[in-house]
Amino acid sequence: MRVAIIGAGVIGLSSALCIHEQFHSLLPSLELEVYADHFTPHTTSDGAAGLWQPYLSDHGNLQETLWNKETFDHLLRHLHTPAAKEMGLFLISGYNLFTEPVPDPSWKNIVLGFRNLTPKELELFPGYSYGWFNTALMLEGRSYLPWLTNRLTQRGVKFFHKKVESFQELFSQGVDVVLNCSGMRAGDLQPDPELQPGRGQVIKVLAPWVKHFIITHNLKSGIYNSPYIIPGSEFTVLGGIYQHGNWSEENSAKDHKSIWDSCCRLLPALQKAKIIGEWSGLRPARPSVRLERESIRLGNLQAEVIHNYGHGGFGITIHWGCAMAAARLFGSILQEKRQLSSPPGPRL
Amino acid sequence: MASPRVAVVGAGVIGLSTALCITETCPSCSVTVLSDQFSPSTTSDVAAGMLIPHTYPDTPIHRQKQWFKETFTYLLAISNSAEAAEAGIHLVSGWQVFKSTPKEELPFWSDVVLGFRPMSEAELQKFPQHRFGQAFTTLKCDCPPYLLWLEKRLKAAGTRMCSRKVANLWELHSEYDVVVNCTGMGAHELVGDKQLFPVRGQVLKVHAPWVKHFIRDGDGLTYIYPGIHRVTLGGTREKGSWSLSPDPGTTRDIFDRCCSLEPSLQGAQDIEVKVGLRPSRQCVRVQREVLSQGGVKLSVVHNYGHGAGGFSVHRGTANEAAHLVAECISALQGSSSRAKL
Repeated sequence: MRVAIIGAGVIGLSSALCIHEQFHSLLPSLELEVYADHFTPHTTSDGAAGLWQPYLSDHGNLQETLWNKETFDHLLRHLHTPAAKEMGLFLISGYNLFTEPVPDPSWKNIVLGFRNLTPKELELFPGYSYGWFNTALMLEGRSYLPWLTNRLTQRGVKFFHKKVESFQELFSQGVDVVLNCSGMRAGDLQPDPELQPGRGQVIKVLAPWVKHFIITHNLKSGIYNSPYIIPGSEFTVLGGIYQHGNWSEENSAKDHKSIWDSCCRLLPALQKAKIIGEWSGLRPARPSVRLERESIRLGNLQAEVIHNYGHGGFGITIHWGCAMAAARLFGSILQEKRQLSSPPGPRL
Repeated sequence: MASPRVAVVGAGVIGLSTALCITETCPSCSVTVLSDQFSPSTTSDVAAGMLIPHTYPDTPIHRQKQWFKETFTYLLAISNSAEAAEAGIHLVSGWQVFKSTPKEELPFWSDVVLGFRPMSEAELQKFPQHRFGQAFTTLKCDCPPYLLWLEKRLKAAGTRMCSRKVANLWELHSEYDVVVNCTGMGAHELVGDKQLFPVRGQVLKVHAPWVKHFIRDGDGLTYIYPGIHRVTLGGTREKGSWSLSPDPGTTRDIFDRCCSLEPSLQGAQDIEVKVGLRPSRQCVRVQREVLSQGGVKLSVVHNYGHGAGGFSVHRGTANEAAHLVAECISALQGSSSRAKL
């Protein structure tokens, strides 16, 4: 049973790991192969700061809220293990700031210690009159992706540095199931007008005195179009750009100035921070995550594709819940192919 | 007295901040800081500089709270300015955890720090050996940066820095009108204060940049304080010990205790060991005194004995000491004009 995963970002690698963990002992013939044109540190996941935080509203998409929760709980369980440092996983607290009162988010009970900001705290942020404080998690892609890669390599998963041009290409080579975790480029494999780039740009600085994340919100300009500051383990990420429909991965001087000026206004101490890099990336944005099976007729064969893409700016936040859901879909494929005598339970 | 001459003895956080307050309350004063140690070899340089007050048994609580509040307000403003990085001042959030519920669930300073509240059950799960906890946000003064920043401000205000060991306050009587005694543990010898005693603290300073929160055991013995570049792991409270040599067994013990609070510290690198003697007293001595010897008088202001709480109250006590200096100068000016009559 050959399973090909297209994409080696956080979604592709975690889906591969989840499937291998759950099925390799039940299905000795299982062979996993990861195909990607970009590997860490050149994926979209590597550019993200790595903060676990969903969008403000789940737009009634309760399934996504559940996947977010599964991810948070899964990561929290790993926090005190020796693997945490290698995974790039650690706790971080911080501020979400608003110019007007807003309803509590769907994730208020998922994170730790969620509360409203006190008047004294709000005085630190002129121009903002309302906000939240909570403790969440950081999962740095630059560490997590290599960690996932190591786990997969240990399990005998093979990696191929190659741009897959079509699903057929893989099926004609004898692949049985394809996991489509191609993120932004999913449209190249199968047109999807709902998938659009949400272009972001970030400035990386050295500001080790910043210990909290600070995320501002401008309800009129939309998510991530307002300054944010996220301190990592080696550098701090300054951002605040979300341009829907912009495919450019070039850094823009105008965006640089906008990020720098707005972040320095938010945290005057940043004026002394040393800039060490800049990066632009495309959030694979979609009204909802596409996580579903698709059966493709190829001649007299029925080929199975599991789509798992369109995670926008919350890929890291939702990845494990989606990987588990993808694994469940894989399980149902196996059942239908009568590869399994009974449905698999979750692996402990 | 056109330009009163003030000597501040001691260049730790107390000496430097007191000198700075004097330049602010008495701009016409000429201020000199005299010390045998400057940053990075003062006791202050060993301390983590966390703004979590120590309770002095014999100082009225309202006075301690006033000192803490003044210090917190002063530092909060710096942390929110462009100077924050240079001054080494930054906000840090975290948890104080207790193995058994403390008698006093609300410490006197709970409304001075930010966002103080009891920890939730979910948060306590991170600390399986502890049953109660408090979450809050406070400030940290990293040393040497903070002391170097104070020195820079002092030099800009015309303060002179002199490397000199003062063995006796009377040495200064002919050159200075007022002497301010900020000698910390040195006051034991310098003014013979037997109520002052060392409480030895050993700490580790490690590289663990993924640690973004402070964690403190309510017993005050085990703590993890993340600074700008290093995390301070502590510690010990050895009353009466004068030893400044690091003890390897203690190092191992501190590391183990901190790892049990924060397992990821197992991956910490570049462990540096430091020792400081907390200049401890039942109450901080912020007091004016006029010394007499053979018909000659010397105006002295004392500001020492801050023990484990130096950083937490430094600006408040510095302000109070500066006002006492102003009183000394008024008294001297009053008596010198009387002498003219």
